[in-house]
Amino acid sequence: MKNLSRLLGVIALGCFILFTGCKATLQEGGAYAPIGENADMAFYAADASFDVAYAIVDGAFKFERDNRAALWAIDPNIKRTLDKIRPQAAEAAKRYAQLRAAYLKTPTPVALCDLQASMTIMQNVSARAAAAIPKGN
Amino acid sequence: MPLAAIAGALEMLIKAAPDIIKAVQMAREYISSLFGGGKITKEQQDELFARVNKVAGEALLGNLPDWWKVEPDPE
Repeated sequence: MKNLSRLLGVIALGCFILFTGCKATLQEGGAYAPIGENADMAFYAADASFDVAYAIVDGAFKFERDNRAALWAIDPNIKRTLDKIRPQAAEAAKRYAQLRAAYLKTPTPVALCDLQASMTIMQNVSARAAAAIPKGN
Repeated sequence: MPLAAIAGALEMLIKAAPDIIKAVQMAREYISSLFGGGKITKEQQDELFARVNKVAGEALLGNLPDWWKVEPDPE
């Protein structure tokens, strides 16, 4: 469990660097590389990083709720810590959604920077949520 | 560590696995797609786009899963 939490944290923090540093290309015709337009790897990287961060947050919250009674008995601070993160995660996801909609409407470099900054906040939230998951002995 | 506590911990792990491992699996799939064939297929792009679209749409509407909501502490 301890290793799993660490792995999740590393994934959350490292995904964006990984995705933006990769040499992969986008097949033409996909959502991020429409035919006749330039492939948008930066947008793909932002969405992919957000996707993983969201899944980590969602998994941590669901884990706590599904096992609430047992975790509360072990340490009430697990729920208390995640309860502080819950509204922040909701706000981060909403903000990302707003900026993503804006970028889809007007894909400018400034809009992309805003989107990437928002994704970084979601990653930070996901790392904290993963860290709150109980560690093994 | 008492046997009951070990059993409880194992039970928690089993319950957590489908949710948390999903995120790890997702990351591995991305990494594999990025460094495996070198080309991210149309299907992979469309799948990601649709999934983020769905999550983003729900987030904009404030429709979050129940486990995202702050609930009263247990008695």
